[in-house]
Amino acid sequence: MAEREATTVIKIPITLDIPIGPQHPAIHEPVMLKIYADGEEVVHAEVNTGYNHRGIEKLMEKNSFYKDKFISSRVCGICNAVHENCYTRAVEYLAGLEPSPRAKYIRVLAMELERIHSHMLINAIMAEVIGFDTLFMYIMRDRELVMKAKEILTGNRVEAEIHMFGGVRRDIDDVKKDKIMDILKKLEPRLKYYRKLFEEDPTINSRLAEIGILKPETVLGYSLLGPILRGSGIKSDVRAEDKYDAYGEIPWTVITRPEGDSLARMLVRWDEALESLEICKYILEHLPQGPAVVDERKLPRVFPPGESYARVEAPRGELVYYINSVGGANPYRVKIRTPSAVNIINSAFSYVGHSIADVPVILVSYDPCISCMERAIVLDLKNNVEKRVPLKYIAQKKVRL
Amino acid sequence: MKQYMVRKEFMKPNRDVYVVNAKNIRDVMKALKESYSGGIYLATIAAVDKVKENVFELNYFIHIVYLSKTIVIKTTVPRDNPRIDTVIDIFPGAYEAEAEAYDLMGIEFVGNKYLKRPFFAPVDVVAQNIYPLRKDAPV
Repeated sequence: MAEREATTVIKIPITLDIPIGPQHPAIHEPVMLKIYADGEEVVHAEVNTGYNHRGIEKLMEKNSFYKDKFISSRVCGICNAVHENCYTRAVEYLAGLEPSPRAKYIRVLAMELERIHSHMLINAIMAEVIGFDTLFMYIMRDRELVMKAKEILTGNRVEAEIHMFGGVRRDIDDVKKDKIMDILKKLEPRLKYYRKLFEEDPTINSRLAEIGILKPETVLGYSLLGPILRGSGIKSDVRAEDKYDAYGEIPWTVITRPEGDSLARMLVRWDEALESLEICKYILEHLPQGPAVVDERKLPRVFPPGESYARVEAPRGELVYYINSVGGANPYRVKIRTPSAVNIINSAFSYVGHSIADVPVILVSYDPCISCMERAIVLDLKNNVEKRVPLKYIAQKKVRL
Repeated sequence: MKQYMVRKEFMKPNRDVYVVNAKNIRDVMKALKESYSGGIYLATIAAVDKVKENVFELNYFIHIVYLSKTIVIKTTVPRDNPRIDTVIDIFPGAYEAEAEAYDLMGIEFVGNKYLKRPFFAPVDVVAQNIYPLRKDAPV
């Protein structure tokens, strides 16, 4: 019955799969972004996850509060200091511990150094993606200066491991302070140069400007965070809102840009890096006297029951830790929500309507990609005519079947 | 908002917690979105497996940008029938949180057609029908 009534058959003969994910060649996130394109235009995007789920939340339930501090800083290599800061503060809220003023300043210094090198890294990758390989090398070379400063401060080039409940694990002396200051002075003209380059270079501008525009209400609706939020003109920064650690005492401003495109997001990052540089300088000049390092032997082994929710402004946006404790040495539940999780998983909608060539740019302004091509052939059985139409016209009901 | 509130609690350091009934979750979210239109986002949903009370607790963390404040909407669903209405049409940003809670904790968000397994969990865990973050999941 149905067969006799059929007048049209739709065949979808061409499926071109280009498997680039889950390890994107340009960036470190093991996520597969599946792009369905109609010709050059993206009609649908899908995000596939699960390639790197390590079960850290479960692991933290099985370990003590102390061990968890070291697990939390291994959630992410690039922004490990903000992870340990967020976890440490969530536990401090539970236990009612308060770090000393000097410890708070040292924590902020570690986090701001991290923000500078993280923003430099993503801008370097953006330079590489749009074809400026030498610029990538230059930014990465200058990024090493920050890594050195971090090594002087924390003892490690990558993993900071400087936080401890109620304080920090290492103090700095005047020699180290001067060394870090020298590095920051060397770095400042480089950061200003790169910022100017991104703002004024016609090639970078025409590649990034007006690509991936996000309106403020869209950004909020999809819970996108950090430089994406501020690049769309919304003044929301956890450092200004929660004023955790020493951020309430240090003069600094929240950077926003109204454009909402990929260029705005990159420029927000450069401006934030420069702002972080000023914060670091201020800290080195105004470091309060007093103890900073806590005696770990005297800290409590058992923590009280309760719930706490800590927020921190990671380089990529708002990072949150929710800890539920029923008392004892282990937490009952730890929930970690990283900014990248939301920024990547929720942002699939934003590629639609752009050309495939723009996908890496939008992607790097928040991250990976894979392309699939599909197109339909509509066979008119009545008149025995075959015509090729884009899938999107069928979806939009522009073609009568 | 007040009409839906069962009781008010407090979460450290300074978050107000509003405990609501699970069946009202959509009304609560709609009311919140209307009253702070254009300045509010859903930060995350944290699900907690409370074995002793035989419930799953759901904490919806909502950040209000105007007030620079995060509030918590807390609700519970029974452990033997973990179903709650989705809020994805009200806050599209709930996608990540709901997909994660469904995959790792086994809470079904009724009306969310994008839920799938495996989302984060490995294929072999999903094949055995294990929800890894539940307290009774074998480690």
